[in-house]
Amino acid sequence: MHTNPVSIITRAALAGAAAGLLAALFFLTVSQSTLDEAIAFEEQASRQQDSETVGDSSVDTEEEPLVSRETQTIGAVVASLLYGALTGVVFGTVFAAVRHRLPSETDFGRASQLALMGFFATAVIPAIKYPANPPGVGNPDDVNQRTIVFVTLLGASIAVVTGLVVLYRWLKTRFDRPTAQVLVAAASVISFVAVLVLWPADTTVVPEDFPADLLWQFRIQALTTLLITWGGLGLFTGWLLSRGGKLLDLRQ
Amino acid sequence: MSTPNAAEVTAVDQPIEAIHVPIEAWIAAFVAMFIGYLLFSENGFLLTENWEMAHEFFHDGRHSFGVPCH
Repeated sequence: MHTNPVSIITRAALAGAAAGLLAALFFLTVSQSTLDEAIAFEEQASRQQDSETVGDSSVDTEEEPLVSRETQTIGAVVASLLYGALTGVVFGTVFAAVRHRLPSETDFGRASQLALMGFFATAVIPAIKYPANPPGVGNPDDVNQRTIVFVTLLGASIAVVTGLVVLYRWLKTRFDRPTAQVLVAAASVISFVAVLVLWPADTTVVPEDFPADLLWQFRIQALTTLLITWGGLGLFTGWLLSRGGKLLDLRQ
Repeated sequence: MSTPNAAEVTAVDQPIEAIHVPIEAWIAAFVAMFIGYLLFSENGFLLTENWEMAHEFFHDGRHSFGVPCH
């Protein structure tokens, strides 16, 4: 049993890095090819546009990328590890603070429950309102506006999940468990639909001839990346806080 | 290893104690979130110059995690 917050946060950060490594493997084996296809489409489209305006396709107007594709692959792996580890630090801190309020009876169960909430709030809800886009989709001019609505939606859905947990705990003191569960389920649907309706519409413009199946694949793979990260984070943290943690204890 | 010890069995039925999370841990969590924002979501909203390089380095990563990008 772990009651030292620093030990919990360290374990969660380690678990997050391990989950990020799994996400990086998913990127290298699955989603990178989708991303490359999207970039190839983007380049082809811009070449076509150039040849139409200049009238001479032999002129190479393609701009040199600031960071090569190879380096961006390393960047994606580093990004995955960092995403996992940073999420792990936040997750571990919140876990330590709310552990005694989570309904499961084991740390493994509690970590899984919190990770499920985190996945829902920071991945599923944003994916419904502002789904992921591959390179070549989206207008650079409104990227700040898209970033603001995305980040504030993340904040709002985290607030809603927190509110629902508080509500559930209060309902349990007034009603029997099934009634409380039905009421909190109804409250979840109402509050999430309200947030999704209230937030501004997605302004992303998909180029007219962008392949629909490529866009769909990319969106599903982005959500899968987040599922792997959150799933790994919850399960690894739970494991490190129970059996697996003994391996770490030996070294301390 | 396979048989749970007595402490683990009784812990199930008792309400567990709250863990006090020191302010430093919360500060670390907020710093982690801010770093995450800078690496994954900054497009020139807070920083304008010199961020292009970091942006491009993490470009594939941010797309694969579904963060808005141009």
